[in-house]
Parts: sequence; C-alpha cells; structure tokens
Amino acid sequence: VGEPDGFREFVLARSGQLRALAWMLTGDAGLAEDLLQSALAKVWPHWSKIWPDGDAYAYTRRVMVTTSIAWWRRGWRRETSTGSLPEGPVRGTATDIVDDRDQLRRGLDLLPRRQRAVVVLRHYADLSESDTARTLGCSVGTVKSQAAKGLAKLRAALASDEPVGGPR
Amino acid sequence: VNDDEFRLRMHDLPASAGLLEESAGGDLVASVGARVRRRTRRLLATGVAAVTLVAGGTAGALAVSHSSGVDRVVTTSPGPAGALACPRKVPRLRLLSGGYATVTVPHTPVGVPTDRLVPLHDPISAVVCTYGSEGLFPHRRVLKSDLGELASILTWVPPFDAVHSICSMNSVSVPKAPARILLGLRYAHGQEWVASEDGYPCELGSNGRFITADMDDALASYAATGNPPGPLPRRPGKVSSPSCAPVGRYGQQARMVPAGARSLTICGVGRAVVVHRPFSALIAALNRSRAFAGASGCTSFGRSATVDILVFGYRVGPTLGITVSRGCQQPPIQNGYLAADDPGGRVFALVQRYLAHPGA
Repeated sequence: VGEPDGFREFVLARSGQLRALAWMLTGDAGLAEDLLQSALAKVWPHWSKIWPDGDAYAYTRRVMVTTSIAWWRRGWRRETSTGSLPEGPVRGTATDIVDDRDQLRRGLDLLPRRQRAVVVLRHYADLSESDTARTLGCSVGTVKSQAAKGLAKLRAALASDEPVGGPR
Repeated sequence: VNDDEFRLRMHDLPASAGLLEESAGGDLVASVGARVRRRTRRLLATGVAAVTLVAGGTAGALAVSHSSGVDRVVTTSPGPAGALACPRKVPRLRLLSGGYATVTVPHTPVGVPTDRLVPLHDPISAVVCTYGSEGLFPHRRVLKSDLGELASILTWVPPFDAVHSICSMNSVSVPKAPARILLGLRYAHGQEWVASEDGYPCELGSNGRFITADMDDALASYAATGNPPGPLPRRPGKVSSPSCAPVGRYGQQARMVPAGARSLTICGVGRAVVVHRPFSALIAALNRSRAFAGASGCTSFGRSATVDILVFGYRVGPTLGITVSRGCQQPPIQNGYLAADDPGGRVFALVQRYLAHPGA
C-alpha cells in the first residue's frame, strides 16, 4: 500500500496540532494517539481527493471528531466517569495554576462526548459556530446550546472548590 | 472566568501535558501506513466490502442497465409507503451458521431480488435508529444530507457467503453491549429497513434476506453523527485515481473483474504505480482464469513471497482489489471472493510488464 504524495509532509506539519486536538477530545494521551492514527488511516484512502486542492487539515479534523464520537457511542474505549470531581484545590496558593488546569481537564472529562467536542472546537480549535456545526454535522443552534451547557459546567468546575459534576 | 481567559486556559492544556513537545511525524506515518495495510489485508482476506448495512429498495423488480457502461440497478414496482419511525422494541439477534449473527428488521422486503442490496435510487429520507444499553428507547437520527452518497455506498455492497465461512472470536474483544442499528430508507413508493450490530465482531448486515459483512466506518459515522466521515470534494466527470485501499464492489462474487474497469493502480510494498496504458489484456487474463470460491490470504512458510494488489477503478461506485502473489501456499489470484490459479504465469508476467512500463 503506497504512501500518497504529500501525506508525509502533511503529517509532519500538522501532527502536533492534530495530536493536541485528539488529546483535548479524549483527555488521555494513549487514546489520543489511537484516535490520531485512526483518523489519519481513514483519511489515507481519500488523500488523492483532498490533496493538494482540498482542505486536508479540516477534513482530518472532522474525521477525528466524528471518530471520537463514534467510539463513545459504540461504547468502545469509553473512559470511566465518576460523575463528580475529586477534592477541589485550596485557593490562593502557588499551586493554583496547576490546580486550575487539572480542574479544567477533569471538567472536560465530565462532559458528554458531543458536548465536549463542541467546547473543544469552539474554544480550543477556535472554530466559528457555523464551522463547528459543519464539522459535527449539526445545526448552529445545537452548537450554541451545547457550548453554553458545556461552558457552564466547566466554569463551575473552575470556580468551585467543591466537587463538581453530575449526571450526564 | 471570562471567555478570553477560558480560551487561554483551554489552549494551555495540551502544552501543560507535554504533547506539543513531541514530533514523531515519521514514526506516525509508518504507524498509519501499517494500519492502512492491515485494513487492506483484512478486507481482501475476508472478502468484505466496505460497507455493511444494506437496505433493499422499495420493492419491485430490479433491472440492470448497461447504457452507461456500468451496472445500474433500478426499481420499477411500488411498495408500501409511510413515515420512518423507529420500532420501539429492541430488534432481536438472529444467529447464523459459522458463528455469525444478524439483527432482525421490522419487515423483510417484498419483491426485491435477492442478489442486490439496494437500488441505485437516492432515498427521499433516511433514519438511523440505534439501540444501546443506555436507554429503553432507540436513539433516532434523521439523515438530512448526502443521501445519494449513502445510496451509492449501499448499492455496491457484495453479498457475503455466511454459509461457507466461519467467524473466529479468538483474540477479539467484544464490547459488553453492542449497539443494534436499524437503517430506514424511504423512497417515493415505499420503505426498506436494514439492520446491523455495531461492535460485535461477527456481525453481518442484512435487510432480512440479503447478507453482507462488516460494518464500515462510514456507516458508523452516519449512526453517530448523521453524516459521512467528511465531505469529499467532488470532481464530476473525472475518473479518480484509486488509492491502494480498495473497497470492493458488487459483481466480484461472480467474476474476477466486473465489467467497466477504467483505471488500474498496481500497489506493492512501498510503491503504487498508476498504469496509463491499455490493460484489457490483463482483465482478459484474470477473467479467463478458472475461478472458484475462496479467499485465504498468503502463507509463505518461510519462502520469499511477493504480493501485488491490483486496484481497479470504475466510473461509478467503489474500487476493486485483486491480489496477485508468488511464493504463497494459496492460489495466486484472489479478489476476496474468488480465487484462481495462474497457469503459465500469464497474469504475473503481465503485472510485471505493466510495472516496468506503466505508460505515460
């Protein structure tokens, strides 16, 4: 199976961004690597149609997002969610920054996969609402509502010293 | 936390995890290539076509038209019409011989010939009903776009010979609760249902009568998001150069190379050669070989073996892959459904000739 022209260059240029996005979608380095490779393997057969004229990065990103949602829906590789965060940080200490990161990461883990994808695409990948809707194959209204719900949960995770979470 | 601050914290997360320091691009390409090759081998070895779920068309007689140079199936008779509502009851599992299973459909199609899965008609509407373990009621997703692509995928799915195959569950992890999926297609004069199970390794798709193997990622994506994995740019009127990951197409269960092949790519380890010269002699040699049912990969027992994959492209529908091998214990010519010997090494010689002189 031959390597398509331009594929290697694309991977070398974009693997860092894609790996980070995969990590944001999964919250786990191992799953992120698996997701990244799965997405690239799905893109490979279609490469001649998206390179060099198409937007290979946007296409790969979309494959990655839909794959992560499909994994979750299938029940594969689903991480265990406790439904609540562990003990919160003590505010006003030098460890606040690290704790905030940890709270944010754990808050992301509590979001349903599709809601997490919306938040990540809007506030990490900096996609517009319409681009996010196009990537996820849903309406702009759904993106708005899912983003609002997701952000509310994450803000609660960051603001509260108490365990945050709840049923999905 | 305002929006800007929140965005900054989000951007900071992967860096804080040390992800951005990695730059294993070369290794990543090798890993991805290995995945693609494994998938290709699996497809060829098991005779699986790209997609599983299949729907019968609305009912009625199917006819084959050769006016466009490719097989096109049309339906002529009307069938029952009505809205597509997901059945409330979880569809049952039907066990087949050889360890395989299918999911039952609300009703078996009436009047649809058994040798094709779905007519080449774009459905008016389609729904995917997913029955998981998380709720009593099915999750219903209406497919709003790319129905033509969905129909195109389903139309070309070859049948699977479950009677003479065995599904080995060894070393396969089975999820605790595989999702059962029903795909409903509504046409002008009727509707069809197709069922599959997503997650069970011995799953087969079926419309109640026609059986096909595997569950393609594209269909999983339809079930998960209502869309195919991504919008592929279309280039009307241009025969796309097939990649080295052939899909499989209807007709290969009966003939080594179904009619209408328009392009040829020869794929080997680390190379892909697009043939620009006429290759009708190769097709003739492949189809002249006495073919028999079977697909078994390549076992070389330590001998030096070479395997080339011939990927044929068509004007409409998916690509077809044929392996041509030397040094294997198995028959040297295989398309996933049929196998054949290569008397006199005629096919092998032609392949070598095309590799040496692929044309302009």
